[in-house]
Amino acid sequence: MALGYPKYSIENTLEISISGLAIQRDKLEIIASNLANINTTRSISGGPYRRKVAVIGEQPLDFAHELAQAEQKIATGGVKLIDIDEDRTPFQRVYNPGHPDADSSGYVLMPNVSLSKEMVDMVYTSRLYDANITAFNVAKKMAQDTLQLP
Amino acid sequence: MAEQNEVQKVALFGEEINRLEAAMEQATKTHAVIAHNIANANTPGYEALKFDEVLDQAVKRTEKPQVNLEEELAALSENGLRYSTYTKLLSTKFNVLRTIATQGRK
Repeated sequence: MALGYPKYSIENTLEISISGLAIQRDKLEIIASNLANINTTRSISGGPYRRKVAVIGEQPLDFAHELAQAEQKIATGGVKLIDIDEDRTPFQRVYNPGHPDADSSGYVLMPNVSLSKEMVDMVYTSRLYDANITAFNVAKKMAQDTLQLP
Repeated sequence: MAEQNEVQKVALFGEEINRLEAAMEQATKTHAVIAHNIANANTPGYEALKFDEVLDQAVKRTEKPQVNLEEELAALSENGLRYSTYTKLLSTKFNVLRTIATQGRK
């Protein structure tokens, strides 16, 4: 038998699902931050809070280079968080002359966070988390089936 | 030397075990592809991967711009069932071999 590339392992597929879980958790964290700051008019960088967005990218799935990737401990397949960026939509202008941050004409710049949008994102993210758990459980069942071979 | 062992294994236990092993390996890879698609369900610009039926080994990108989560989950359970079928068959094969090995003296 020639030494070909190593057999693809169930552990690796578990890693893929775990990367999916981690991303959804990161996204939920960002959504929580957006919701918490929905009325923040003074952010660290000055001005109102800008809605944060997760920038996510694919971790390529490649069966042919497993050995090299295993040696360098690079995960094959899955997804990764590249950056947390800011939403570029303009701030909401609300008329509130009593507000300490109101300008001379009585308008306050409020964060560009939309409550309904965040809630929809939250439900969707939580469903995606469930889907990754399902994939994880199937891989676990496969591993258990293999271990229960007599 | 290793090659000789391989041949002896085939002669002693039949080819079914090797075939089932290959099938399980294939199912594991299919599972990796599906898990990868599910993990990237929300990645911008990601195009779903699928196994090329003709080449059976190669992974290619489909024309669809987005991952269809329902489709992936259906494929996931189908592949999982397929895998447990293979393990059941393998288990049956081992049981037969055990019977042959242990009941011969009676």
